[in-house]
Amino acid sequence: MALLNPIATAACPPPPMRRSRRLAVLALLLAGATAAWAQTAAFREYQLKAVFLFNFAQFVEWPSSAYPEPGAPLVIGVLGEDPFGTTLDDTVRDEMIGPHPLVVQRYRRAEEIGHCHILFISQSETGRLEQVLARLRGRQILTVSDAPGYAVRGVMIRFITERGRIRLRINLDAAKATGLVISSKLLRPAEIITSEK
Amino acid sequence: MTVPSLQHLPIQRKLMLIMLVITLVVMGLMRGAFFAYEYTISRQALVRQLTTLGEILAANSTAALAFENKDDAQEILSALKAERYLVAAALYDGDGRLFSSYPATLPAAACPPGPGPDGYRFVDSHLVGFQSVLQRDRKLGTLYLKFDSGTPMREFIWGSVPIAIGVMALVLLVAYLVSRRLQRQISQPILALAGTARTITEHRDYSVRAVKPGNDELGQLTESFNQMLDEIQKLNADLEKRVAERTAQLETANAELQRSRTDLRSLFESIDEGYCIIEMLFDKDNRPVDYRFLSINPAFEKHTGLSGAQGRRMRELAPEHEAHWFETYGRIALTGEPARFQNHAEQLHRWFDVYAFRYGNPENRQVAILFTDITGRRQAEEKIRELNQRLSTQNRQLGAIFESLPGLCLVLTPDLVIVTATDAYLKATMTERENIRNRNLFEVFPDNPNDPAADGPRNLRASLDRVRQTAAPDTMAIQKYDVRRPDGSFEERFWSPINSPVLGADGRLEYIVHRVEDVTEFVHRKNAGTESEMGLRTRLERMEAEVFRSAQQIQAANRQLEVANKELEAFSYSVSHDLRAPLRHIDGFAGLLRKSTATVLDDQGRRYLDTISGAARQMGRLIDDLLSFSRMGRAQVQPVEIDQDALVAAIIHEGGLMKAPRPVEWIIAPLPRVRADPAMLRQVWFNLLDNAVKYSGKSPAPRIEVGHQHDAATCEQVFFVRDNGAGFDMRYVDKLFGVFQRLHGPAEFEGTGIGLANVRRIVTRHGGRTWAEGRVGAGATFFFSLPDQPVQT
Repeated sequence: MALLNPIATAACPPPPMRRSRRLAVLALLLAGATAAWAQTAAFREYQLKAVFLFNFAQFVEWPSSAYPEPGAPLVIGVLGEDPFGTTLDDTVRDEMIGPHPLVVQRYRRAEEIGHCHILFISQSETGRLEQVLARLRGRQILTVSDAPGYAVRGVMIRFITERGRIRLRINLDAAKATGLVISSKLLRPAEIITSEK
Repeated sequence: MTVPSLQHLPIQRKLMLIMLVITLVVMGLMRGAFFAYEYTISRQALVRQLTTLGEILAANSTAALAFENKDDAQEILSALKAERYLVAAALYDGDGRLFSSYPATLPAAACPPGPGPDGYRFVDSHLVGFQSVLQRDRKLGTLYLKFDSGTPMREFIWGSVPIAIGVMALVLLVAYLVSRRLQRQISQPILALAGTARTITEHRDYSVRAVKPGNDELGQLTESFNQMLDEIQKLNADLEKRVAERTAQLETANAELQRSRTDLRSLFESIDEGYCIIEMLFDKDNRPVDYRFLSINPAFEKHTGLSGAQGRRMRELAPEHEAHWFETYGRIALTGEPARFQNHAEQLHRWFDVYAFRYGNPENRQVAILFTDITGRRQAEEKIRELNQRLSTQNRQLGAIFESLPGLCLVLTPDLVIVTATDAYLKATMTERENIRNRNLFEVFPDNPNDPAADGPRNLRASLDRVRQTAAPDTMAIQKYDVRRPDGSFEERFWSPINSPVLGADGRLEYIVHRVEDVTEFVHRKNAGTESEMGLRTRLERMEAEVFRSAQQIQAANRQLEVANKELEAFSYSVSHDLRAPLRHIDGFAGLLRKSTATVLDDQGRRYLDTISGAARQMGRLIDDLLSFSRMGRAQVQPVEIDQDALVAAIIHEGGLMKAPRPVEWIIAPLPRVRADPAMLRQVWFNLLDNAVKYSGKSPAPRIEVGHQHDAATCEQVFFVRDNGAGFDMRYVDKLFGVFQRLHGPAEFEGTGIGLANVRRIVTRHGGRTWAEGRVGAGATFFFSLPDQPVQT
């Protein structure tokens, strides 16, 4: 189903440059893999999620103290097993938020997280999520995950996939706790929840 | 509404109309400007509104685009349903693909296939535009909006029209009310002024003044108007006075003119002379060729024989009218010198006596002509001239005949001036005709101074005097009348002259013809006794001498008779006169005796006395008649013209003839006037009428007829008096007119027997005759005649 959507909308004018590049990447992946339908759908899903990660940078404001220097990069970190492959790198390459260039960093453990703004917590961290979140407390990092139950556990934004569409679920308490300013626009399409007590 | 009709509107309406029109125009302009402004503003506002809307939508839809949430996008766009006029909206994603559209039912084809440049523009009464969807300067997509701008604009316009009309009506109402009040400020004074002016015009009353409304221009106008009225009133009064004076003058002049015109007109109409005014017609060389009758008087036609001449030309009426008429009138018209002349008009067969003068202004070239048709006079003059010529020829011939007569004749005027003489006379008297003509007879033939016994001139003078007195020829005895020779000496001559009167038609003495026979030789021979020659000639001469002698004897006898006659008359007069005195005594004393013895005398005595008185009176009448008869014989006849009608009537009424014993029926025919001695003619008529009354007195119905007839054969007027009285026997008709001849006794009819004798004597002296006709018992008619021109004696 998810694959049909682009085809359904193929009546639209030719996609812009970036889109073609993505398709080129997609084609390469399709060509290079012997993946099943599931793999293809997953690829497509993470590709979207990568764009969403990038888009978060636009709807969230970080205080200037979040950057060591004015021209310092905005860092998107991936903790645990990386589901994106190169998709995330491709998405943010050459992109800038204001004066800040975008950089992707991957962390195997929470201790490795240094200078970071957006952190995708992989499903692999389920066992030690509380430690990780505790470690991140007090730091102005937007935490994102697609693992079930993460949001209620204190991750700020969780991707929910339903009927082939990716929806956002935002734990506003967690977000408020970090002191990040999340644009109300981001809240519009999202489902708002609170942490479990 | 057209401008010309606006001129006739009352000023009030005009003012109001002006104010209302101004209000309307201002309102319209304001409304127009306001509307244009609103239109522009509303469009700008629309754009702004749409921009704002687009920005809001774009801002709201960033997340939907960023996170590809179509539901959210749909929800955002659906909020547009509040915007009634937003017909379409669409979102395109960052790749330009249609992401979402509004309304949900909108077909995909209704949207532009892809996004366009940012900004809004009006397309076909729609406002259409694109808006980039940005998040932190990053373009996430594009918003498309299509707004129906026409409908709200129309609604706005239509919505505002009733309001505009309402406002306008309100404003006009207010303007009307205000202008009604305000226009009075101007119109009232003007209307008041106009009213005053109208009053003045209608009633001609210049004493009216307008009320001054204030000190503005209208006030000044009113003041000027009033001043003007003052002036007019003053001028008017002056003018009226002058007009009245002038009118009076004109009326007088007019009446005068009218009178003189009427006079002139009646003169013009009634004068017997022809009168006309003509207009001369000239050719291009200023030669008179014709004339036209401008006006003519009633006598015109009588004098010219031309009818309907007025307005016509002379050449038209008489083409052959002589050129001299035109020349004369043309000259008068040009020079203005009047002319009087007589001339002939052949075609009219008339002569005219004309006075013509220029009439009116010289440039009118009119001539007035006063004229008379003198054709009759002219012909008469012509005839007279002819007769005169013939007469003078006859005169000459008669003169020549007279001069060459064999006898010795001299013609004298009653003043004894020599008129002419026969050649024989001149030869016998040794004179020339030229030397004696127009000279006194006795100057030419004086006495012979050497013959103291010459009585020729004296006798001649006496004879001529007799002729002059009696108008009867006078034969003179043989006279010795010596003739002066041309050398001055005298030659002895004996003459036998006869002087004959030549009487004029009126019986007056005109000439005396003095005819003589030279008997000198005969006298000489007789004196010398030379009667030797016997024979016829001797016998003739003897007879002549005998005649001469008897003539001389007759003359002598005449002279004696004349003397005897005179003595007889003197005697009869004195006898008559002396006889009257004793007669009066007889009558007078007889009367006295009758009075004094009235009681004593018996009837017989009284009858005797009456007889004495009657006889005395009869004797007196006889003597009176005799005296009268004798006077008639001597008295000079002094003829004057007499109205016999009046004379006869006066005699009948005043002469006591009406007191006849029986009323007389008078039949009196009109009588002609005659020349006669009035006293004598009265005597004639009295005697005849008195006789008629007297002798018809015994008829049962006395009738007296008086009449006359003209006897052309004898050139006499014959008068008669006819009665139906006693009449007479025609055998004694010759005795009727004799003195003392009576056919009836005094006892039968009163009378002296002198009346008819007197009548005959008077009539004879007037050159007339008397006669009578009658029958015994059948009335009598007495005639007398008078010559047409009574002879003067």
